[in-house]
Formats: sequence, C-alpha cells, structure tokens
Amino acid sequence: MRFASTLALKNIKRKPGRSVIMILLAAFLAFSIFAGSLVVLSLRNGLASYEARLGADVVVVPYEAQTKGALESILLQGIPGYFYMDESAMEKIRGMEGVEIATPQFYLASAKAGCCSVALQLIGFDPETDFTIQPWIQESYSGTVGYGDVIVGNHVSLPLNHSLTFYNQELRVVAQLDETGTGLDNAVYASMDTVRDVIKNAESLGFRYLGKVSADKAISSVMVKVADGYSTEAVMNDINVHVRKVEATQSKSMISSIAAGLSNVSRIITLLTVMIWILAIVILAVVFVLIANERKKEFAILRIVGASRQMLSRMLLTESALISAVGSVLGVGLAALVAFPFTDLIRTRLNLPYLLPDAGTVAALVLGALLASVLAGSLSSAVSARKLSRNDAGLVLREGA
Amino acid sequence: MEKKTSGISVMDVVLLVLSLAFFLGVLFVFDPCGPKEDGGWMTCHWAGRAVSGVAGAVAVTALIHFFAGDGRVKMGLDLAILPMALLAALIPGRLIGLCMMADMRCRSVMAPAVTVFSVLLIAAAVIDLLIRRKSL
Repeated sequence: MRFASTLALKNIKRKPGRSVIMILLAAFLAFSIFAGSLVVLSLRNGLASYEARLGADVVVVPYEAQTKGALESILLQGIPGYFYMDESAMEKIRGMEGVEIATPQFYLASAKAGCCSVALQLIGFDPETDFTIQPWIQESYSGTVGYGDVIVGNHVSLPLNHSLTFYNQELRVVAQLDETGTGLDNAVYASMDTVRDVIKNAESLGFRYLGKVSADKAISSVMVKVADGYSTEAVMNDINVHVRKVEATQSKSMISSIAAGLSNVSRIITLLTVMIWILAIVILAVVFVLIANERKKEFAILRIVGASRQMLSRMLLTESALISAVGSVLGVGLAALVAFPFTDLIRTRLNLPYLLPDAGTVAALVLGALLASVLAGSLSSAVSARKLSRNDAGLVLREGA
Repeated sequence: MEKKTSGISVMDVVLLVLSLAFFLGVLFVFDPCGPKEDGGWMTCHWAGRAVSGVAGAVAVTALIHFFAGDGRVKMGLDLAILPMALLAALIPGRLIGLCMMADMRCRSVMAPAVTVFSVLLIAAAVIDLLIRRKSL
C-alpha cells in the first residue's frame, strides 16, 4: 500500500507538465461545482429572506406607484424612491372586513447623503401598529426606536460618529440590521414622526416631494395583514374596488414574479455545472487512458519485477486521487476567493435577492465540492486502472521490442 | 564567499504578472468611484490612491525579484512583498473608509479585487519562499 502511494507520488513529480494540466482540470471542476452551487443556494436563500421580510399579505400603494413598479424597485433593488397618498385611504382599509392589521409606511429618498454621491432610502414605520419591520429590528436591536433614532440596513456603513444627516436634520444611528440580501439592506429605518419631520425640513429647503398631500397626512404604502378565515385575494379585490386611486397587490404575486426569474437563473447555473462535471470526467478519463497507453511498458516491467495487478490499479487510483485532491483544494479556494469578496457585485448584477448561506452550509458545500471532484478524478481513472491490470506483461514487452 | 545564484523561475513570472496586473488594475480596471457632482472626491478615491501607491511598490519589488540573480535576495524580496500585500488588503475599508453603500463601485468592485490580488500575491510569495528555502 505504502509502496504504491510512494510510486504514485514519484510519478506525479516525474511529469510535472502533465500533472499540472490535470490538477488545473480538477481545479476547474471543483471551482464550477462550488461556485455554481453557492450562487444557486444564495439565490434561494435571498428569496426566502425577501418573503420573510415582506411580512404583509397585501401591499397597498398609490396607483401611479404600482404602474411604475416603484415599490419593487425600493424593496428589491434598493433604488431610492418616493410616492405618497393621503392617510384617509388607510383609515378606509382599516374599517374593511377581513383586515386584521393595516400599518402605514413612509418612503423618502434623501438628497446626496453626507459622504457620498448617492441617495439613501428612508423608510418610516408606525411603532404602534407595525408588524413587518419591527420583528426584524428586534433580531439585532432590543431597545425602542425613539424620535430622532434611525436603524441602518446591513449594506449601509455604520458612520463613525453614529449619526446621519438628512436635509439638515441630524439623526442618531442606534443599530444596524441583519442582512436580507434584498434592497431593504440599502435603506435607513425610523419612526413615522422622525421621517415626517425630515420631509418637513426638506420642504422648507425647497424640495417638493409631497405634491398636494400634507406632510402630517402623507403615507406611502399600507401593509395589510388579513384576518384568519378570510381570503387574501378577496380582501385585495375589496380594497381595489372600494378605495380610490390605490392599487392593492398580494405579496405572494410580488414574490412569484421574482421566483420565476430566480428559477431561470438557477436552472442555467445547474445545467452549466452538470455539463462541466460530465465534460471534466470525460476529459480526465481520456487523459488517463492516453497516459495508461503511454505507460504500458512501465507497468509491464513493474509486473515482471513482482508488482501485483491490484498494486498497479491502486497506484493509478492513488495518482488520480492525489491530483484530484490538490486540484479540488485549489479550485474551491479560488472559487471562495472570488465568490465571497464579490458578493455585492454578484447581487447587483443578478438583480435578484441574494443572501449567502450560513457557515455550516458553506462548510458542507466545500466538503461536497471536494468529494465530487475527487470522485470524478477517481472514476475517470478507474477504467484505465482496470484495463492496465489485465494486460499481459510479456506480450506488452514483446510488442514494444 | 560562495555566491548563491538562481535563474528565472515560473514563480518569478507569476509574481511579476500578478503585481503588474494589480498595479494597472487598481489604476484602470477596478478603480474607485468617480468624482461627485460638485467635482469633489469621496474618501474611497484616496483609498484607491493609497492602494495604487502600495501596488506600485509591490510591482517594483517583483521586478527586482525577477532580475535578481541571488536566490537569497529573491527570498528577501518575497518577505518584503508579504507585508506590502497585507497593507494593500487593509487599506480599503479598514485603514481608509469607503463609500456608504455596499453596491457602490469602491465597495463592490475595488475592495474585493484588492483583497483577491493581495491574497494571490501573498500565496505566490509564500510558495516561492518555500521552494527557494528547500533548494538552499
């Protein structure tokens, strides 16, 4: 056993060029398996997180905001935006049958915020009635969000002085939220009173966001929780029929459109990964067959000096396992070096919710990619090993003479 | 005194190519965010300038490494690359702040690319060091 391993190692060292090419092939295989699986898992994770964070059964926004897809831009892509309606719409919704809770949200896009040439999204919520943002806040902040306090999303840097200034109003940053992998990570959250005062300041500075709606009566959306025993669709239709100038949407339908896009991307990645896997196994198998043919004489001599058929097979399998193992570690390492630091870029380019899985899942993925790659290498050499061990040593040497 | 000489190896080429790609990359490919509307620069611009300075020093070191004839000098240069690459990795976001949002160019492109190049340079320098130590 030990002799076979030593010989395998020496064979690898003896032909460095050939070994390096095979290691690179194994690395490519491991890279594609690990990176492909990581992206697919992150997309699924992102969708689950988006679904969980949306919270409401029905989302109501002003009609023009719905036609422009403004809410999805804010929630999904994190593109700052704003739209307003009068809060009388919310009062009407609260009085409707089947509505358990209706809570307002207020969206405001900042002018360029302090440090950078980008606008920030401010989302105001009503601490008394909110059931979508506060449970999420409680995961990372146990205190109450008072007047003048803000909580920043995970993709917003925590300022060193723990304060952010919007339209000359300084707000205290009290916490940073956990990552969701969606546009919600790009927003800043505050109570409705705080955001309303910020918009009043903006108005006094000459920014006209509200149109005809007064700052004290303006809201951007209403998040609705449907009471048990009522159909979400019926409540949504009821709102669309009875409340003017608004559009109610089931959050399920918002998610299903994203899920369709996500499933297309996942399918392409999975298909590519499987194709690469098959291609790499075929290439490795061909390479091993060629090597075995080239080394027929060497194996025949080894047979004559006393090496058993099993030992030759073991030597070839050890060679391929060693090459695959080194290649796999290299491939997974390179994939990790690209996939983890560039997470934000991948998310931005895919334009879909994207949240990396937890450490345990990543570790399992690393192990799986390593095993799959080593298995592919060993499988591809198994045919050659079997063929070689059956060759007649005397015949091989006579043929070569 | 016996002079230890050494020819140009694969690792000399790898180090030189990596360091040149790092230097040119931070200047032209994965450079930080552009100027603000008022013409002023954000902090990330200065982080990019600092990284390009360190990357330039790494490139010069790799160039000397490439032409150096003495194996022990090459080992010394490998050791010099290690802290410089580490410094480059620490500049964006740790030693010099970057922009506020994670999807901005400095945070989504420049900082990760600097991390990748720094890790690759450290790995290449360590491998070269180990190979040369064995042959001493």
